[in-house]
Amino acid sequence: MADEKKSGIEADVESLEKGVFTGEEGGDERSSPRKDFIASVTVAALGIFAMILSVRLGNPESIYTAPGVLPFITGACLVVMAIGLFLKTKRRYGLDEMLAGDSLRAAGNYLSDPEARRTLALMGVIFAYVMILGQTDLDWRFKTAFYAFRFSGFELISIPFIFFILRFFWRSTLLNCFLVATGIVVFLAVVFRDGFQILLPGAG
Amino acid sequence: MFELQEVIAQAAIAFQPWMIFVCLIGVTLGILWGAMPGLSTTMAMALLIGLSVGMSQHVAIMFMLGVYTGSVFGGAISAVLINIPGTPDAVPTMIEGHALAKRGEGGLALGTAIMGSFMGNWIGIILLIAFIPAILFLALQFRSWEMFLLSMWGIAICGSMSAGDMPIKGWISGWIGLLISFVGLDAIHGVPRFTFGVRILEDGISYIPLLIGLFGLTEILKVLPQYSPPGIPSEVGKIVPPMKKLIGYTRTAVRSGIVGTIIGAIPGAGANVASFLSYDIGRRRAKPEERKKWGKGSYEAIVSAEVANNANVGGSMLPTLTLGIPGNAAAAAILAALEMKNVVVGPTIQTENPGIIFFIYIGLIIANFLMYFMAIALIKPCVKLFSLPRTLLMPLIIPICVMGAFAVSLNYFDVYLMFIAGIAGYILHRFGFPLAPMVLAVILGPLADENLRRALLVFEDRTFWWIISERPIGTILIVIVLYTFYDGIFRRGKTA
Repeated sequence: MADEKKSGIEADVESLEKGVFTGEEGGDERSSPRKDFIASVTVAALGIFAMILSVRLGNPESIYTAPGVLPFITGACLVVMAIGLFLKTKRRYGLDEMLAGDSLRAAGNYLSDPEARRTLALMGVIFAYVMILGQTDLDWRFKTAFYAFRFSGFELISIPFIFFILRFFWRSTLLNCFLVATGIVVFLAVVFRDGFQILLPGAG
Repeated sequence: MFELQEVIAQAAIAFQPWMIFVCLIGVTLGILWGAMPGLSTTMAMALLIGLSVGMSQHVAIMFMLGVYTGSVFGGAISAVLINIPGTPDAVPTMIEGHALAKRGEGGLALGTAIMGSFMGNWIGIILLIAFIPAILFLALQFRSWEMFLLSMWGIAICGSMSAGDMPIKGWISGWIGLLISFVGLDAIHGVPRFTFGVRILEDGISYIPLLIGLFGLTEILKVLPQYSPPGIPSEVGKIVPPMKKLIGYTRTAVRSGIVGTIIGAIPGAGANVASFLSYDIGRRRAKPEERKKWGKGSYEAIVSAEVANNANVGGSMLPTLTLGIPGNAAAAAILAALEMKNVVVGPTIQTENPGIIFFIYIGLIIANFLMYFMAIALIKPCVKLFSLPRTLLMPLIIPICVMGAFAVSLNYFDVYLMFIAGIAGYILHRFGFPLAPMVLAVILGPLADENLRRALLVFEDRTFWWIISERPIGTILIVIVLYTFYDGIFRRGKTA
C-alpha cells in the first residue's frame, strides 16, 4: 500500500509534467467503471428518495416558501447528475465493462487485499471505541495540595484502545505501545481539560 | 480616521505577548503537522478547531491563522528532504527541491522555499487588503436572489475545481452536502426536514464534526493501513534564505503570488491547484536556459510553487470573509472557528464585528513573520520527526478527532456524526468523489435555502423577463453558474 501512496504522488508528478488539471483532490484514479455504475445507481436512488420526502413535507403557506422547495430541486439535480455520471462512464468505458463481474466476487477480491482487511479492522476498532466511550460515565478525582488529578472515562477507554491500535499497526513491544498510548492520552487530556478548559467525552 | 483608530486598537490586541505566543504555537504546530507526510493542512485545521473552543475570540483566530500559515509551508520540508510531500501542494517543491538536496543544496532549496513562502504570504495579504473593500461593496448590493445564486455557484465551482476531469463527481458530492444541510428544522416554518422522527436531528447537522470526520478520520483510514517505511532524510546543510538570488526571481514571485491569490479566492481551488498551475505557468514562461533546469532542480520552480501555495492563504480568506463562502476546505475550518466565536462573516462583517477584519490582517502578518523564523528553527527537529513511522503517529490522532468533535457543543451525538462522516468520506474517496464540495455545501445549504424561498416570494408576481432585466447582478451570476456547468460538462469533459 505504500506503493499505492507512492503511485499517488507519481500520478501528481506525471500530471504536473503533462500540465493536466487533476483538481484540488486529485483525479478519479481510484474509481472504476463498475464503481461509477454503482455510484450512479445509488445517487439516483438517493435523489428520488429526497424528492419523495420533500413532497411529503407539505406546504404550510405559499408554494414559494414550502420547506421542500430546494430539497426537491436538489433531489432532482442528483437524479440528473446520476444519469450524467452513468452516461459519461458508459461513453468512456462501455456498458459491458460497467456491468462486468459480479458483486460477490468483487467483494471477495476486496477482502483478499490485506490493506482492505486492515482498513475494515480499523473501522471496527474505532467504531467500538466511539460506542464504548459514548456509554462511559466516569470521573475520579484525586486532590493534592498542588494539583487535582483526574481520571475520567476518556482516559479509561482511550488508553486500551489506542494501545490496541498501536500494537496492531505499529507492532512495537507491549511496553512501548502501552507507554505511548498512556503518555499521549494523558497529555491530550491535560492539555484540553486543564490547558483549554474543555470538557472531554466520557464525563471528563 | 475612524479606520486608523480601529487598526491601532486591533494592533494593540494582536501584539500582546500572549497573542504572539498563541500564534507561535499555532505556527509551530502547523509547520510540524504540514511537514509530516500524510497529515494535510485541512486535517490540521479541522482537528485543531477543537482546541480553539476554549479560547477567546481573538486568541482562537490568532491560533487558527498561525496553524493555517504554518501548515501550508510545512509540506515543503519533507518534500525537499525525504522526497515525500508533507502536503499535496508541495509536489512541485518535491520534484525540484529533492533534486537539489541530492546535489548537497538542500539547505539552499529549503531557504528558497522559506523565502518564497514568506513572499507568497505577503502578496496574498496585500491583495486581500486591497480587494476586500471592493468585494464587500459589491456583496452589499446582493439580495436574496443573488445570495442564493452565489451559494450555488460556490458549490458548483468547488465541485469543478476539486474533481479534475470528472467535475460531475464534485457536483454530486456538493449536492449530497446540500441534502445533509437540510436536515433539521426548516428556518421559515419550523417544519422538521429529513429527521425521520429523531429528535436530536431537529437541531440540524453541525459541519464541524463533519469536517473532522471527512478530513481527519477519513485520512486516518486511508493512511494508517498502509505500511510505509519512514523516510530517510537528506543532509540539510546550512539553511540560507538567499535574498540576492530571490531578487532575480521577483517577476516570477509576483506572477505566482497573483496566480495563488486568485486561485485561493475561487471556492474549492486551494493550495494544490495554485502550486500546480503556477508551476506550469512558470515553466512555460521561464527563459530557455532556466527551463532546462525545471524537473532537475530549479530554484525558480521552487519560487513559483511556494509563492503560489502561500499566497493562496490570503486569497482563500477573501470570499470567506466577504461572502461567507470558504475559498477551500482549510478556509472552511477558519470559517467554522470564526462562527464558533460568534463572528458573523459575509457582507455585513464590518458592521456586525467592527475591527475584526483588521485583526485578521494583522494576525496574518504576525503569523507570516513567525512562520519565517520558526521554519528556519524547526527544520532540523523536523528531520528527527521523519524517522517516526506513520503507524505510530496516526493512531494518536484518533482521540483528537473524538475530542474535537465533542468539544464544539459538548454533545456526544457529534462524535457519532464524526465517525459516520469519516466512514462515508472513506467510501466516497474509494469511489473517486472529492470531499471539499460536500463540506462547502453543508455550510452554504441553509443560506441557499432561506434566500431562494425569500426570493421566490418576492418574485411571486413578476415575470421571468423582469427578473432578468431588473436584477442585473443576478443575471450575471446565472450566466456564471451556467458557464461553470458548461465548462465542466463540455470543455473539461473532452480532455478526459
